[in-house]
Amino acid sequence: MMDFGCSRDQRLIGRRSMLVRSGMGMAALGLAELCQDDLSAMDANSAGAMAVKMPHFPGRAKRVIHFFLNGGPSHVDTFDPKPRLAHFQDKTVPELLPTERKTGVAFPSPFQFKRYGQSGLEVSELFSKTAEFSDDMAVVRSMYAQVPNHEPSLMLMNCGDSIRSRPSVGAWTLYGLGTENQNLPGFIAMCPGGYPIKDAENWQSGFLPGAYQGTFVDSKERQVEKLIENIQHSHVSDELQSHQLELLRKINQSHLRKREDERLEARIQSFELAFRMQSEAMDAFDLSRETKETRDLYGDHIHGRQTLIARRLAERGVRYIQLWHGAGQPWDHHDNIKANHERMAKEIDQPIAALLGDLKRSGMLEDTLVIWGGEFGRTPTVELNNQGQSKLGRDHNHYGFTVWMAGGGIKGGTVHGATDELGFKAVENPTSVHDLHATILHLLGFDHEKLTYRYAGRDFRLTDVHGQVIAPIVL
Amino acid sequence: MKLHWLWRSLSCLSILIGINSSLYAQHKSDLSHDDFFEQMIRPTLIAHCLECHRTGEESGGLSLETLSQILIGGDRGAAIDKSSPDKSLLIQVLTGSHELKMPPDGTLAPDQVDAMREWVQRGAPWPSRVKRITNSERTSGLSARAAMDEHWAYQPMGHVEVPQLGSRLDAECENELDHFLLEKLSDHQLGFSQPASRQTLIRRATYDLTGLPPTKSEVDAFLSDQTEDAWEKVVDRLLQSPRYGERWAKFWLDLARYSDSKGYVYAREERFWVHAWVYRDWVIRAINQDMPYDQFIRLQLAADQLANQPEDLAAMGFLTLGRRFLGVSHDIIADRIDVVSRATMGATIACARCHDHKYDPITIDDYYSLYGIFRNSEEKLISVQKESEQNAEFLDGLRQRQAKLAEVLDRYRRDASQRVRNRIQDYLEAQLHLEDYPEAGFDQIYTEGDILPEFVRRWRDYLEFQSTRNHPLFGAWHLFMEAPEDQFDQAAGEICKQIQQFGDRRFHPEVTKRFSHQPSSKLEVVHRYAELFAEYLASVDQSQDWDGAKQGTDAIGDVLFDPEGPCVIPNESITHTERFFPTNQTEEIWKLQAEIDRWIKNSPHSPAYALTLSDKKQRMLNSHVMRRGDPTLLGERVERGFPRAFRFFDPSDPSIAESYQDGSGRLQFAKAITSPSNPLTGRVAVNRIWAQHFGDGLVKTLSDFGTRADPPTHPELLDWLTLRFIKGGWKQKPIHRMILLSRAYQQSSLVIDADDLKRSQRQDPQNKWLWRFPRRRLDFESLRDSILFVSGQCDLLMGGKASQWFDSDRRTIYCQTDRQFFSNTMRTFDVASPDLSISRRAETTVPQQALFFLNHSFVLDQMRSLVANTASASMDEKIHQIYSRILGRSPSVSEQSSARDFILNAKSIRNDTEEKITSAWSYGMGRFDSAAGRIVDFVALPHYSGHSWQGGAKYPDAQLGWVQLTAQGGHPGNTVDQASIRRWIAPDAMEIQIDSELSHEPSVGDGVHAMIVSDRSGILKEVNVFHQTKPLMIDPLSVEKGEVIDFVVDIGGGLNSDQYLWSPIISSVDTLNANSSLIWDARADFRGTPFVDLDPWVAFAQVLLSSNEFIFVD
Repeated sequence: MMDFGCSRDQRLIGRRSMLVRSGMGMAALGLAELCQDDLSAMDANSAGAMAVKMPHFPGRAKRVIHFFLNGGPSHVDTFDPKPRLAHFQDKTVPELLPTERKTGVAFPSPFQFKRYGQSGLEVSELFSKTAEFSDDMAVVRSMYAQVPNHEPSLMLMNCGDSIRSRPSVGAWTLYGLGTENQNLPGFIAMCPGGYPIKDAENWQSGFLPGAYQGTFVDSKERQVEKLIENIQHSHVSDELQSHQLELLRKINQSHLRKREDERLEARIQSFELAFRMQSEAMDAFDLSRETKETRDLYGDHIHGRQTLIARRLAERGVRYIQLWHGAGQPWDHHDNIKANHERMAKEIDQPIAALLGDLKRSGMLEDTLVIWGGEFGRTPTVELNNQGQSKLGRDHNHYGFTVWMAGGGIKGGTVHGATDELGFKAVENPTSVHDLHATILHLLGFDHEKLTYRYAGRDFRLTDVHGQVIAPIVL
Repeated sequence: MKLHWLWRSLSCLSILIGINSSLYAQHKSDLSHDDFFEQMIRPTLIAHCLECHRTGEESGGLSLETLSQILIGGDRGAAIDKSSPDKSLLIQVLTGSHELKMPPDGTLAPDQVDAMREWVQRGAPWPSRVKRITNSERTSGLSARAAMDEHWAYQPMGHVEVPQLGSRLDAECENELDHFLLEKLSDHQLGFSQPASRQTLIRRATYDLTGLPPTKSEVDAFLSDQTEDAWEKVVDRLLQSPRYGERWAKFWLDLARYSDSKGYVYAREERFWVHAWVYRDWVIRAINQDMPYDQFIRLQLAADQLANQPEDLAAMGFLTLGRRFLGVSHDIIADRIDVVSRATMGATIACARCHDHKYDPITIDDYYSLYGIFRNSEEKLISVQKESEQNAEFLDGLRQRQAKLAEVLDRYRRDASQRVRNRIQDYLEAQLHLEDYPEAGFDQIYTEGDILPEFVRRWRDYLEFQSTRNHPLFGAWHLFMEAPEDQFDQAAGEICKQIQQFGDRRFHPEVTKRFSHQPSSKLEVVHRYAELFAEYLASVDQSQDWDGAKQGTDAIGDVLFDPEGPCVIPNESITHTERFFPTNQTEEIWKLQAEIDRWIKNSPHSPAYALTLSDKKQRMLNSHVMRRGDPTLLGERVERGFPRAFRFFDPSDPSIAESYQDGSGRLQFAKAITSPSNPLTGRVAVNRIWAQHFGDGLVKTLSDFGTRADPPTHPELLDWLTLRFIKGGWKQKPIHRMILLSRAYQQSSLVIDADDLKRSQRQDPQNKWLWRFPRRRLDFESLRDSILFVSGQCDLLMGGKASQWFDSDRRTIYCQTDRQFFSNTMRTFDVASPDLSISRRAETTVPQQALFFLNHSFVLDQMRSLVANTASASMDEKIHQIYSRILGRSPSVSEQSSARDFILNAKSIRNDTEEKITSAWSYGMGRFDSAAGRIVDFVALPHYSGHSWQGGAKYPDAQLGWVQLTAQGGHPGNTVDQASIRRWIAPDAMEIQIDSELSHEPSVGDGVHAMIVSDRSGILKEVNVFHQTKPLMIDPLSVEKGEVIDFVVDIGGGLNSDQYLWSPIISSVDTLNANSSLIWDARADFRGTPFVDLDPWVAFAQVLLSSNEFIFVD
């Protein structure tokens, strides 16, 4: 932090507080008087849909930070070493499973694996910095999805259903828990440069109220004002806006007098929240408030900044934060996986490590669930072009892939499940995406079978009729 | 087939079972025996066991349908042993500890096995009410029989007497509705609230029927109308307004999951529908014309067979503008079934896609009966305008594009047929391994050399269809294929004998010839058939068109060339045929189709198009039941028809009571839905109207009239009104009229007497008996429309292609809905998700909504127009005008004075702020005179780019070079003497402090040189910064009035990567009063033209617009 003695905002608030005391502050007071005989109604109402709600049982995680490596990172090149592939080098594998495109012979990983930490977790050089936190991670090496295509797999991973329109995990989380900071959106999806494949569907609220939809932020944007819709008020001075709100409150109060109605009160409150959100959101995204050391630790590039913003959002009580790698599907390396994976990993290895380190130091890792993964993995066999020649890349693989989690009630240093000896298919403790979702909800304090929403005559849940908590990786 | 498949699977199984899960124990063990059976045991038995172990199919002599059958067991003895669960055969085969391993199609999940074990441990509890479970078991809570007898919504509507309440209460009633309502109210010691004021009433009704506020003159006219029927006249006027259709169409479009775009479509199709707006306009028109509701529904389902005028074909957009679901037809059809059944009948039939409905008497068979209807319907894009009336240029372009598509399509279809005919052996062989070709969406990329699963299935369906026909060619095929694998030799001998016996009388001569001796395996059967076709092919010229006249006379030729045969791609749109082509060809065809769509979409002269369904020309195929909704788990085929539990609605009406044989059955389905004897459709429609007027329906769950729905609050009223609706020719306007003319509608939303209010609230907190009128909040459409309306900008043009949300002044219903990029603003305001059939929107209150009012340029622009349109007048008069424009009333005395205070106050703030900021800062370039210790030659930078001050529009500027200042920092000029200077001038003598840090980020070059210089006391701070950040702080500093403080940066050594970040904050230090300290923040204060605070009048109008009074309707 820059040492200003007191920050600009504190001072502004100082100046503002005067206005607030004369104007806005009264609103709460006035309301309290009006609602004396029904204070609980006001409590329930003050934040509306976003009020903090209690889960089914005390959750270990209070918030989630999800690194989404869209496109599909290769598990056999990152967190699932397969030395046996070398034995099959240039040979046909015993069981070649059909994927989106044609693949050929076995393709041993061009990356070196090393053991890390007390757990001795094997991780490739691509994530050597992240791997320093292997004792905090639980690596699920036996994930599987349903089809080898991005679109359905993105939907499955984000919303629990490959095709039908369903609320995303983040939306369910907000529905279940509300959010701790009313001055910021509760669910933020950051993606530098534009939308991932499937666009806003990845963070949709489906049949849940629209308030639970993720707020998209193009983290490539450096101007704070452009990050959140309607957050800037450059057309009006703080003073005048305060006066507007004071007049609005007055008008609304007299309107309310004859009409006790909690919806009217809620709306009065929402303007006060909005007023505060303007400065708080600006502050959350303003990295100039971090020291140079911190900024350097994360790296002064898009992913460093995005990850640092994620930490600032998490600190401010944002409930669910998704960090997409980039527009489209940047991890989709059908060819030249060595150079391409190297380039991608380099962009996020350091930021992830910096974040884990930061969260650990501050103690926040205790109740922050960090998730890493894509929509599926990649084949251990090499992808072929139309002429049947090797492209030195890998095709999509939904039969087996890796996701890891850390913090927030995760048992560190554990490996759960395994793919076959070549890494094609999950064979030991196969873990479905529904299981993963059940586990995330469990860590947040929910019985995934009981977090339901009535729509179209039926109680829907994130895991539909599936899902089992992955008990061995949960503390 | 089954035995063969089973055997194959068994031999290659290595089952991994028995991984215990500790969580399972936590969750399940506390279930009651009955629940445990229902949740854990029955589903497993049905899904994994009963196919082979049921009455008539007792594999190994074992049936698992009843408890006694399980206890008696099969050939290997009892299936379970209650005394030692782990020694039970059932458990052993499931856990893999027995030589026999079950189920043959793979492993059960560990928790299923554990549950089975626990079930035996519990002593195999079997609920007493369950006699027998079967594959088609009715697991629903309500049998069809009970449905008929019990559930209110399924009962016919009988004659209902309007209740008479005695003269005192009767006098309070305006019409029949009030009699029903007041009866319930008085049962609960409640009554109507006082009548609402005329001012409130006209606002309420105008919003309710048109989605817009009344104009001042409409209000005045009503207030001064002393005639008896003043209110009736208002209601009738509103019902005649074209705005009525625009308002009420939206509710239907929410149910129809309306969107102008298709959702994600890979990058190959055009992502917008070309017909959506035409459907939207059709709905608006139909509602404005008060088209009878039954006809309204029938046209939307079967206009292809009912439309008297081509425009009505547009109605079918209801079915066809759903999501594209990546082209997966099972999901497209599921969506159609869901939308149709919930929107029209409040029946949640889509719940039965995977299993029988849990609560309602809808079975999985019923779902697939409807599925068959849609499966046999094909999409067609049809222009609803005659070609002779169309623009020639448009037609030209269209024909060119269509010709290109036709040419390519034709070529690829021929190529595909050729390839299939040349690989008949492969396609026949594939029939032995159908499980390798699951029906699913696009998941693999196919080339011309691949066996295409879609053709495998076409062969499968073709063969299956032929089996019902005693086919001379394939009769023998079926005999062989049905032979048990382990007794094939024996069976094949028998079959050959039979073939020879019947000979050419029943079998094709080529078949009798080829099966004179016995094949040794099914594969050999395949080979002999393949040979048969190959020989035939060698004898004909394939390049010739197939002579349709020969159809039916040449059985082999039929198979190979008939357009309905298994070797030809059906001549349907690419939507239906895309999986018959290799992937690259599919993409090419889609792109050509997209060219056509784009031409229609973008051409200003394109006519209206409808995307219709019509019955397929090919033979109708009943659909298989897909168990668990899984297209790879095919059950029996089911006949198309209305859900069986609903067939008692009218046994004399074939569209309701009989299965559908003619065509797809869509028309009959539409008739069944809209039959006056269908007790659901009318009730659902009337209830929806009620709910839009009163906030809640008589039945709360508007789209669910199943057994889990709340029973109606006023069942007699619902039936009375529904009967009236149907007898009145399904017209909606009379129902609106009756509701609006009721006393209930005209009552106030306020209860004046505090005691009355408390008592009523205690008695009926939810107001379900309607003791007052429920206050409504404007939905997003009404909100946006009203803003445009009060500002005077609303463009009331009707119909046509969609406009964009915020750069159009048209009503919101005409603005584009994009389900793929559904905007945050709309989501924030609870607009219905365009992917789901929504009967009632959520109503949330979140700060993002407030931010919209505070900061969205749309709001500001509209308020600017509003203020610009108020005639310049005295302040009081202007306040008056703005009140009346926005709130439709005059301000009270105290409101008038608050408003006046606000305007005066805002004016002074505006001047202060502007003055403070603009007079303090300037941005320029200059030179530091080291001898004088001062900045000299200061020149202001001439150009503002929108975010920086610089030399000119082009950067770097030809004359001034790289010099630039932004909010955050800047760039020095090209030489040391062209330093960038951010200048601050003290407005008064005071003590200040300066907080800042300067960052130079690049690692190349040599960094920059920076100074803070006072024109009174010279250099205050000086640093060189290269690839680092340094603080520049001064605390405290006394300045004189007018003293200049310059923040100076020059290039230091050389010009290379000299951009920097430096935005100082200057604050006055007032030791007496911390709160009165003044701050100049270089970043926040940075602006091009002097900052002009919002116009006080606009600010004022914005406040009124943001008020609860504007958003809520009493």
